[in-house]
Order: sequence, then structure tokens, then C-alpha cells
Amino acid sequence: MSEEKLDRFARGELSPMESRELARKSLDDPELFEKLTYTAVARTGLADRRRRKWPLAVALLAAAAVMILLLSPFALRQFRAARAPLVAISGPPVFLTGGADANPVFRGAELESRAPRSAGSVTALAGSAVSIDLGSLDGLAKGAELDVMRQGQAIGRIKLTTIFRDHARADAAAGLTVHLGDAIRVPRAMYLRAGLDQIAAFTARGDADGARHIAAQVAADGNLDIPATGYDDWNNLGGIAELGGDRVKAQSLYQKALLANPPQPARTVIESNLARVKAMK
Amino acid sequence: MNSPADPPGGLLSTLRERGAFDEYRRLACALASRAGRLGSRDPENAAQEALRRSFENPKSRQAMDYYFVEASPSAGAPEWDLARTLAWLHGVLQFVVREERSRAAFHREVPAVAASDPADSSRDVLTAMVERETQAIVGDCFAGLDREYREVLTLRMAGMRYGEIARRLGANENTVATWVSRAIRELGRRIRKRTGGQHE
Repeated sequence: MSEEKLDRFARGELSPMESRELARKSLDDPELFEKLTYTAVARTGLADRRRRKWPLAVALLAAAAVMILLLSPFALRQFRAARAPLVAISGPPVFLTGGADANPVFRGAELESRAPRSAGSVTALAGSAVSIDLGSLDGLAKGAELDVMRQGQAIGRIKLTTIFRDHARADAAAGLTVHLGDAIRVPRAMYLRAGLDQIAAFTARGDADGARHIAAQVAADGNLDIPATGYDDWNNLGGIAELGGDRVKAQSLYQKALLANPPQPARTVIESNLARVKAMK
Repeated sequence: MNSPADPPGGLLSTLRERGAFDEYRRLACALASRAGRLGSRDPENAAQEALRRSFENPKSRQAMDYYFVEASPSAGAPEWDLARTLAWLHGVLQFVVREERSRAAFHREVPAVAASDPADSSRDVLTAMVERETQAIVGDCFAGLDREYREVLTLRMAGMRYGEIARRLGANENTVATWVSRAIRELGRRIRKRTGGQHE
């Protein structure tokens, strides 16, 4: 069996009749049957991810791109001819997966993980011990101090003592009386860090839709000014800004990502993101 | 594989009547070999049970007839392509082997994938479980791929054509196609190692 045919099977390019020929051949060739089966599992699993619906914003972007292509092919040709290397100017931002030493498992790699939240509430009280419905998923870390809010006003702080995935325990500061239902605000930097970790984790799992969903949610929550740790963070913050409609900010963040000396092909991805944002009217 | 006794109206009898016995016997042999790798104590029985359950799903049955049976297909191409059919057979076989192991209550370590929910044999539950586990396994193995493979597959999964990916990465379109197929086959190799490689 030629490698070329196996390649075409992996890419889903065989016709039904070619597939039939291949399938019947595999009945007499256990090794081929094995190869086909595991390639099939890989391809089917990836295709199932691809079939998920894109968010509305992404669909609108794609529709806009189609309109541009239909209305101004000449302008596009001119644009493409003027640039090297050639890049796509439509579609959603592409996120990066984080460095080789990144560890996205703690906060975001489980299949049914929820998005990080920027605020939560007090769910239980026992003396000065306070339980809250925020956890490592939201970027919380042991020892951090969070504001307790009541009627929109900060009334004091609690210090986190134990962190779980989606809840945590804390000690109230001396003199602070906490009530059930009091709001807890996650510091912006923690929340953004959690968002970036989840975006990297979803991207590492090949779930681009999941990454964009998290990014869109983080974008809706406001400013992106946190200390980033590398080109992947800058790029992903750029993607968040882009999904939030702030092209100027996105452009600035993508440029910072390029200045952080990314390796290939991360550089290519970032350059592509930057070119696309610059091309937006 | 031997041909065990089958009651009138059973799977083997039905296959004989339809003139497809030889193809399904060979398919059962291939599945039995795989069942052994998945840890089955009775691979032949597991293979036949996987085939029987696959026959209960009309789409799977139509696809198996089309792809594996020698007689020219009377209908057009089935709804499922070959990849989906093989992935389904793999999932059902894994499910059957898990049931068998659950019944036998082996006192030995089992792979993580076989340690989840207990079996429920209804077809909808089976379909959901096969799809969910395929997703989980593929997701986990995907995370272990080299960054270059993950990125090219991520772009492909985002719905981009080879030409678009080539423009983004500054590569030739044929090169991108090669990367995609290599990445998928590497992913398949990792899935094999994870799900069926414990006896290799």
C-alpha cells in the first residue's frame, strides 16, 4: 500500500470507491488494518472538534471576509503581491499554545472545564473561615488577598488558605464581618492569567473554538494591561483584544509578541495575526 | 477464526444468507486481533459482539456493507466515510472489551481510558460514549504532539484550506498537505500506543 494513499486517507481525500478498495485490502493485511484504524480514530476525533459551531462573532468575521473577497479581488491581489511572506487577511486570530515548559494541566486541560470568572461570592462561613465559589480555574493562588464587596463597596479583604479547582477557603481579616452572598472580586491580573492559561490549554488540545470562546469572554471583561511573560502571552492577549474589537491594542500586542523573539513557526503565526489586524478596515 | 455455532436468525446466519459471510469473518478476525491487544480474554467473542452491536446501528451497518463486502454496492456511497466507520468499530470494540473486563473483574491495572463509566448497552448511550471517549483520547494525545504538528492541525481544524494555511505559514501548499497527513498519522500512532499498545 503506497504511503501516498495512506496520506490521502489521513487527509480525508479518498473517494468512496478508493476507500472501499483500501478497506477490502486491509481485511487481508492486519498491519494495514491497524494503521487505518488509528488514523481513522485520529481524523474522526479531529473532525468532531471541527464540526462544533463557531461563535457568532467569528461567523460574522468570516462573512465579512467573504464580502471583501467578492467585492475587491483586484485590491486583494494588489495587497497580496505587495507582501512577503504572503499571509491570510481573514479569519479569527490564531492563538499559541504556550512554551514547552508551560503547564496548562492545572487550570484548563480538562474537557469540561468552565471559563474563568472575574467575580464570585461567599458560599459558607465557619467562624473566620470563609468559603467562596472561585478557585484555581479563576487564577486564585494560596496566600492571595481578595476584596470582599458589599453593595458595590469594598468592605475588607480575605486571605486564601486552601485552593480547589472551582472553590476555595480563606480567612477573613481581623474585625471584618463577612456575610453569606458577599461578592468577591478577583484581581484583574489573576483573572487574565487564568484566561491566558485556559486559552493556551484549549489551543494545546486543538480546541480552537474553546480558546476563542474563553478569549471572547475575557475580552468582554475589560483592560488587558498585565505583565505578560512571553511571545505566546503577548500574541494571545492580542487575540483577546482583537476579539474584543480593539484593533489598535491588538496590533500593539502582536508587535510586542514579535519583539519577544518567538521561534518559527510561532513568528509566522504572530506575523499573520498582525497582518490581518492591520488589513482590517 | 473458527465459526462458532450461531442460532437461526443470529448474526452469522444472517451473513450467510446475505452472501457476505466471508468478508465479515475476515473483519471479525481483524477485530479479534485488535481485541487481544485491548486486553480481551476472549478476543473472538469480543469481535463478534462488536460486530453485532455495530449491526444495530443502521449507518454503521450500511457503511460496513459498502466498504467491506465484495458484491457491488447496490446503493450509493454510505453516509459514513471509511474513517468514521473504522473509528466506530474501534470504539465499540473497546466498549465491549471493557464490559468483558468489568465482568471478569480483573485484578490488574487497566488503562485510564478503560476506567471510566460502567457499560450501558443501549445504542444511544453507546454512540455518545464512543464519541466522548474518542474526543477525550484524541484531545489528550493531541496535546502531546510537537508544536509544529499541533499548529498545523489547529489551523486545519479552524476550517482553513491547505492554501490558506500555506499562506499563513509561508509554506508550499503540498508541503502543508504532507504536514497535515504526517500530523494525523503521528496522532494515530500515539492513540494506538495509548489505547492498544500495552501488549506491544
